[in-house]
Amino acid sequence: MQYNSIIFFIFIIASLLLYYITPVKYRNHFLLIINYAFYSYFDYRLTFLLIGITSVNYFIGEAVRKSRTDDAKKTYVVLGVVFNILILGFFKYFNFFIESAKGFVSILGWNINLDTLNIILPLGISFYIFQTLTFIFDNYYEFIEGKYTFFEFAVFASFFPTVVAGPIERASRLLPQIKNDRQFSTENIKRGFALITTGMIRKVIIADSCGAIINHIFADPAYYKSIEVLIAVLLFTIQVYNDFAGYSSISRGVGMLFGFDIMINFKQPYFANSVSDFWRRWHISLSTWLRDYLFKPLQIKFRDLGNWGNALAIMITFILCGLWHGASWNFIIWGFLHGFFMSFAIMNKKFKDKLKSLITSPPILNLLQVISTLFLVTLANVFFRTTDINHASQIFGQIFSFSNSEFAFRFIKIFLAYSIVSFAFDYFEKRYNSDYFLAYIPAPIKYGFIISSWFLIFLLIFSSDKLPFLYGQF
Amino acid sequence: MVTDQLKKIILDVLKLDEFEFQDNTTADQVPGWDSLSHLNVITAVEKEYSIRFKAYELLKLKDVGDLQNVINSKLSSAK
Repeated sequence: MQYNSIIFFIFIIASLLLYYITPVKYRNHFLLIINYAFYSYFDYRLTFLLIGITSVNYFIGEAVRKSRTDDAKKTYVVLGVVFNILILGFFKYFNFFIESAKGFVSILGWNINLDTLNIILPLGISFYIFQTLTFIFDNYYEFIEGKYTFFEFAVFASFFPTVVAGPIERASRLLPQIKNDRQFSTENIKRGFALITTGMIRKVIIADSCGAIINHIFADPAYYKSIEVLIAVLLFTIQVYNDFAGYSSISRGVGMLFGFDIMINFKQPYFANSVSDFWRRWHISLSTWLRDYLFKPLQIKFRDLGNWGNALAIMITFILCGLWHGASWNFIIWGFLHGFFMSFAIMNKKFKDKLKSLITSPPILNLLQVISTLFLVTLANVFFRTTDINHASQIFGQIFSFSNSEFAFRFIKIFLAYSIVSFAFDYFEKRYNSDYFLAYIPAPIKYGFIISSWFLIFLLIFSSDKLPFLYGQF
Repeated sequence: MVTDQLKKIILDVLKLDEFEFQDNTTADQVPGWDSLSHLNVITAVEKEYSIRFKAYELLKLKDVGDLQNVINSKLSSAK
């Protein structure tokens, strides 16, 4: 069930009504039923896998909590990590490793007889595995207070607003919300609706319209001129942000309708003034997950190496971050580039500070930093969008062909239009210091804006080809 | 209770003139104390007190008060 589909609206309205009619003490039971119904809508067989992973991770997490010695706790954590990596490795990376091994061996001039398997990628597996792992980690670090039942954990693991593509919630944040009673509140409904509206505008109006253009150009870059391919690359930076921020905003909004506070996943990432600042604002649920459960342990392990230790921990974290997105060399390169940009900044901090001191005006310095960060992010994004390295070099080759386009002005206009709308949302989010700012703007503007937006959203949902959420494939 | 010695180490590493630390002060409330400079704070603390933390002890820290407690327990067990 895609968020940008009519069936989803019917599902939300019907389940919301039934949810608030249900007595408070049975609401979690009802929630568990709709969680599994929502997930089964994609493929009911995969629901059994979800239940299986839920069960194993619950019992390991509980074993961590109950263990008395540090060594015993650690053993269970290792067991949990190995189990989840094996599952993820099988479903997501098996064929990639076989293909890469074959390629590597053939370079050496040998031949091996290995077959890839016809494995389907279970929907949302990267997200819900990471989400359920937090139960094991948070028990280990004692971030969770008290015991949670298997039933409460099952609601958490299959939580329908986050199960398909995040935000990757923490056991220590969401489980207490599941345990506590949730009362109906009109304020939550208003905020939830504002978030869903913003999310739909970002996804259906901005991201999908950009996507329609980008898909054509990326499918056959040789057919397009220099500036057209460049604009497609720039437009992709707008698309990928609005697609995923839109998705996250809808998830948060749906959660709020049901009385939950799901974590904020994006905070104006394109206002970032460095690549590390970008990662404090982009896909925050994943970046903080990686920071707390991967980067920090690595950083402590390498602490005797000083700054080199920091740089090494960052490189490992971001290469794995790339691999998390998908089993392909392109994602590994994308992760490597981000890791490299940050490590380079750490290792050359003195030079960076010197460079910064040359510009005395803070607003100009900030603007230059934002632009250079955007440039690096956009550059790395080429690898995120292309299918393989050949495809990426085709894109770069076409941009640097400097071929003339008679449609240059038209492409620039399209790019400017979408950037301005996307920028405007970020600007108001920052100004109101809230992602549900739509609930707070003056009434006449608010209603006019919301009604016309939904008119456009429904028009696009009914009339044009709906594009799947980009992060749904991970 | 955060000791003056610990306060001084943190202020020195983060190059801050003054900051009022409470037991429940968290790293993100202190200017400049991010995930990168955290490493410098930790190594400076280890050097100053001649102690060595276990990864697990550091990863479960929630606030400065926790850090002080771990230091105290390390120092008392070393005696």
